[in-house]
Amino acid sequence: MEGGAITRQWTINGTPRRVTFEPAARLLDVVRDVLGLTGTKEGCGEGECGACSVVVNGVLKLSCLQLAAAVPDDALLVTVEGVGATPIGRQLQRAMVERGGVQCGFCTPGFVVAAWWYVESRPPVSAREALAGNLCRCTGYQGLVAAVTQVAEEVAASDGERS
Amino acid sequence: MGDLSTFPGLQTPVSRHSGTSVPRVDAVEKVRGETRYLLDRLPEGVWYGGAVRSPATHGRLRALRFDPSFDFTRLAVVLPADVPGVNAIRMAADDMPCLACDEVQYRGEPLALIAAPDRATLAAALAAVRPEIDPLPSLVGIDAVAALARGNPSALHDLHQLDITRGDVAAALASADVIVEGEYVTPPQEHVYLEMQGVVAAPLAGGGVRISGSLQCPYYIRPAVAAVLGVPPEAVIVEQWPTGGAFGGKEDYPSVIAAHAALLARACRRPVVVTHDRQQDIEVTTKRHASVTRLRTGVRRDGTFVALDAEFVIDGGAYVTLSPVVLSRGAIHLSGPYAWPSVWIRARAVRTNEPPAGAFRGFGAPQALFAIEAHVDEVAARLGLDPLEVRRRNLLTMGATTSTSQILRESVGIEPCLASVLRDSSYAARREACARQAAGGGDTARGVGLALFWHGGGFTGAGERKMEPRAAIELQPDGTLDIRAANTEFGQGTLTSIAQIAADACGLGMDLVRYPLPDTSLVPDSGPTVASRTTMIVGRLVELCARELVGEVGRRIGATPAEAGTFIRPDGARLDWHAAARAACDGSTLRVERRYEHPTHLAWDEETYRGDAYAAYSWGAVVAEVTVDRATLEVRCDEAWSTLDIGTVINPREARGQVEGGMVQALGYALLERVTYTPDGRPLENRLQTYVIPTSADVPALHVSFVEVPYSNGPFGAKGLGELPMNGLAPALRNAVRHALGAAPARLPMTPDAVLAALTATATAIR
Repeated sequence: MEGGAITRQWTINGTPRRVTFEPAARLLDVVRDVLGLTGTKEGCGEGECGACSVVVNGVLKLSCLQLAAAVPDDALLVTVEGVGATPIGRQLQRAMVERGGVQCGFCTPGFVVAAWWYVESRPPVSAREALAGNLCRCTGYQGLVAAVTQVAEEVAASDGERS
Repeated sequence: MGDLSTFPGLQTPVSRHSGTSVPRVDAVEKVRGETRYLLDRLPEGVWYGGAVRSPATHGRLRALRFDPSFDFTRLAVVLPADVPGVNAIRMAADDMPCLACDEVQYRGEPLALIAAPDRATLAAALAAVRPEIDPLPSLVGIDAVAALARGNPSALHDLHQLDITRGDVAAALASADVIVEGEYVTPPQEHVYLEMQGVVAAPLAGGGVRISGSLQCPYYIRPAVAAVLGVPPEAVIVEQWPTGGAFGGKEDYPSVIAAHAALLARACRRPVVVTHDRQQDIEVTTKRHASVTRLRTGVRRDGTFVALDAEFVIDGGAYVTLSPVVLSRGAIHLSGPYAWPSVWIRARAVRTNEPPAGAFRGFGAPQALFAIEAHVDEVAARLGLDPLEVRRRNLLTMGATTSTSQILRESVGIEPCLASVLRDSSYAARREACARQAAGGGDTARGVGLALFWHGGGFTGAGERKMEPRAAIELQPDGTLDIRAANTEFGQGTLTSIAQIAADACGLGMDLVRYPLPDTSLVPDSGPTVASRTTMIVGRLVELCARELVGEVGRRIGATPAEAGTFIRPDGARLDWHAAARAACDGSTLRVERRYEHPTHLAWDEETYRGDAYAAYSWGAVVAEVTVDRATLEVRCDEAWSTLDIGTVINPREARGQVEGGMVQALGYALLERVTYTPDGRPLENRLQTYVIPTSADVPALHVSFVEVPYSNGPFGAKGLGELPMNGLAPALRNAVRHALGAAPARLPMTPDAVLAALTATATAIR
């Protein structure tokens, strides 16, 4: 094996970890196979479906297109398992259950991560546009868009009250 | 809820859970990312299996050349000669080899199998085998099929053929005021379940095997694998693991990879997983049958239908697989929810050199209904009538006769569906506004289209009677109910809705009902999870099991069942469910099993294709509004409304989810999705970059509602749901484009080039 293994020090879902992987490894494979976080899914392997979405240093990433070696030391990674530990993440998960945003469940973790990033970072687009990088073949998106819109509005309203 | 008191067939009014959007039992673990699918739970020491595939579209296999520089000895290799049982994957026929060894019929056909300890070694090994094939002439693509159907029909090879006849079509056509002809074409459609196909086979002591994975129909896989291994069916155990979408795509195809995995597991005496990457999944798995439908209809000047003369041709691909069944359902639904005094439908599934086509939500009906519903708008245009009026004049009503000469005796909801969708969409006003806008010119044209549709619940004809599905409920001493049925969850909400039915029939809370994913060593054969049959047929079985269980508990403890799962003893004392269960079980479990009984008044003749094709139909109406960009001819769906009659709605949220999801699959079918083959059989759209499905940004607001016309033999009055929503939106969008532009493609998908061709053809015709 040329080059040998690579080691990085990352904070994953709030916990510092040393991670060792092959130089050509995709971040998706490191998350699933090395870290054992199997909530992140592979749906296409070419950046079309969003099932592998994770957040790296505050940026939403498709982990199937992300070379793990290109993620620097001290990076902050958040996967679906970490999103569920945040208040907004829990709010989103609950809304998705209540509004019919879940069917087969395979795309769901990617939607949870993308929705969490959207609500946290508030790009100036609607939930319908923000979720367009994730494919769902079951729900027709109505429940997903409704859930994420609802939480984005709730969070914006509570921020408004606070300020 | 509908007014159930007016309906004598119902034993019990809808109770606490049914009719309520109780939360999905599997939703919380799914949003947390905790549900473990196949690749999240591979056993220790698993090997990776795959197939050497044909690079030729059609040809004679001369040899498989194994690269001498590659060491195959440490791997498992399975050749056709190594298949211990029958070298065929059993479905409707035995013609599809497990491994082709003489003539290859499609590009990607499996020729040999290899398993290796890791994926990289497997890929290298597969690349080190070179099939040598002498090419033969091939037939690929629905346009080539359509050309033959038009000019040289006897050159097409039938995989299956059937006729539906009613009355004297020739005489009726001769008496008609107007005859309208048309030809309608639909493409292959890929399922794009988000989780790719995959199963694990693990050897069992005594020569058997356990198959686990992403699948719809455990009891289809069991006999298929047993035949290939040459073992009795009981030696094969099939269990479902959480399944990331299916839509029919995991009805038939898993039998293929389960057989492959089983052969490899037997060869290397360890578990073997067979799965695909997305490209391979699109290239080698089944598609919705492409179709060409040629219609000749006779009508009166007032819009009354008098004759339907139809040729319905579906492209079955290389082997029979399920094509006869798809053909049957398509042909029966071709007449649409209308009364035709005379009908002659000639239906053929023909062979091509494409991968075998297979089951996909709708199962032939979306193709047939696209044709008839587009055609009805052409009929209306020819007569100068409103398409709504033509539809109204010919609707199936209670007591009407269908194309198979079935007299509809109950649960006919098409009229209230139509009334509801017209109201919800403000159809007349909207259509007029769009027409004004379109006439005014500008950069865009708007249009509004309508389509009506239906779908029979359960197997066709005598199917349910012949298969005699069984289901069971086991009462545990702690009061818990375990539902034992072979029906699978792949997103539709089966586990939740069937549990609701059981809980209601016993008067219990949902927390006392469990429905584990099926395992053939634990559950009876309640039939496959297909044909919109799970709620209507299996739900009814579970309801009857539950009622019988309550009665049996009462008998055992000498008490009378009362409300909310309680019992009253002769002395007047009331026992709660837990106390009653404990006493009735007496330390063991109490199991009740029932066999499905098809309504005895229903009759079907497979020879003449006449009779009661389905015990009950579900019905739907849909209105869609589109905007067409006059410069680019891009079609966009702006809004859509649909009302459906699925009988009693067991779980409104999940039912709505089924409808919305089906509508979006139909939207993709109408506007975006297709697989086109190069003349040498290569699919041009073989990845998600090229095979494009709708995203949230492509989907408008969808307005879904239900009217509930109960069915006497369904659980609490419920009918079939799963497939119905796929059937109507595509023709509604097509008719909306016609309304916007005055012409529309007679084919799907309505890409800009297809719209341009339709406009050009109309302009030429006028000139």
